[in-house]
Amino acid sequence: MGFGAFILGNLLGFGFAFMLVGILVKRSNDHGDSKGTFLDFNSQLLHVTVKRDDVCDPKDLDYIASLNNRK
Amino acid sequence: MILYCANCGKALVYNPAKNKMECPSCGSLFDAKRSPEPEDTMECNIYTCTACGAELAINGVESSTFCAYCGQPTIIFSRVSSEIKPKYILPFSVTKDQAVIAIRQKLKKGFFISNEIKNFDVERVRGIYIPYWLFDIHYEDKVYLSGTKGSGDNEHDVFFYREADCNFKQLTLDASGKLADESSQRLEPYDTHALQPFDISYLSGFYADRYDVPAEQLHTLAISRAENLFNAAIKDTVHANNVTIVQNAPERQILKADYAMLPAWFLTFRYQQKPYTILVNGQTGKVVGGVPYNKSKVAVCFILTGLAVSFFAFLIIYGLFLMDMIDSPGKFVFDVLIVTGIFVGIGIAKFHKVKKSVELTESKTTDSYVKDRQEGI
Repeated sequence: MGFGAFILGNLLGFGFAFMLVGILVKRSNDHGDSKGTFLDFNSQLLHVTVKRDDVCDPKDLDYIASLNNRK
Repeated sequence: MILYCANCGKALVYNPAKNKMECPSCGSLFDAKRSPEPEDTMECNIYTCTACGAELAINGVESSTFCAYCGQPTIIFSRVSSEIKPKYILPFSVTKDQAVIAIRQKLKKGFFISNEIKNFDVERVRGIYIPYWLFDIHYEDKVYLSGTKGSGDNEHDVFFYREADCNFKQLTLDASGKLADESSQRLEPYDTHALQPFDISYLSGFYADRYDVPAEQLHTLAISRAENLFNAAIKDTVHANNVTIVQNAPERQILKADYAMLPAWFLTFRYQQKPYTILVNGQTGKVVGGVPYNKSKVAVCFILTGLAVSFFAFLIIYGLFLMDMIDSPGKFVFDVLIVTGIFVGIGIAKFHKVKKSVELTESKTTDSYVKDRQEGI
């Protein structure tokens, strides 16, 4: 039981350490990755003309439309 | 491209801080006025330096007796080249010194960067105007989106409907086939509101690349970039979790594409005999590039963190076994393996990104791009 816990603990510990070091190396040594987009200098570009919340699943709408077409 | 001082005849350099052409010899300042030439093209004399291999483009009938880059009097006339004039130019607002300081500050903060890199000697710094296409695109779409609301047992799917349009003005796409797309994309964004009508005097003291990717070749990419921006913006109008687009019918049209030159500083230094080139956005000062990590620092950090976390993980798991809180040991082991796999996967992805970025920085393509960019306008 103790040996099993030791193995599992090591797996988790070194797996976590590998992820952490990877994240830190990325932050430390790689600069300019996808920070900022065109929209930073061009906000308010999107004009929403129709806005409906809580609508039906579009698949259901398609199904209803196909039923209406059959009639 | 070189313009000369009317007072002493030395080559003028554009000074971004003063927005003037400045003579480094006598200090005279000149306005960067619009070129009176209405033509779409202009003729440049291309000179080649036999010492460093650089190519120098000089406007008009002037000649040069020295290389502007290595300073050697080994420059010979090569050919006359007709170049298409860009419609716009974005003048440098970041000076050479500011670019070097920005890079030094970034590198100094890096824990895994070796001291040799942090205290690098600048081998060369070059201001280069990169050719870009500026696309005007009209994009409209009718979109069904799905998302989730609530949590736990109350979590349920919700659907939304949006009709929207977007007029993208001057969406930037790199028009140089020689500079890696990853590099130019990471240099962005540029604020295109600061664009000026093209004026040849802005090029003085800088290098200029010329486009080798026609606008038509970039139509698909331009549409795809507009689509990504549009979809991200439309998702922001929805208040739900895990928002995805489930159905849409986009209509998009490219209205026009203008040719422009956007500024970047290319700084090259050597580390372990290899040249590394880091880029700085000449307008915003954004630093772009990856540098090699110090392997011994990474190894020490990995082992120490691994030992510490393993110790606590062992105590917790052993405690769970002792208190008989694990119903199914097989499932528990499986879960631990899954979590470990996720950790390792994320780690591999991060290291892979750094490796790719370092490869770009040390790529011979980028280095030779910097060397060759004298050709142009």
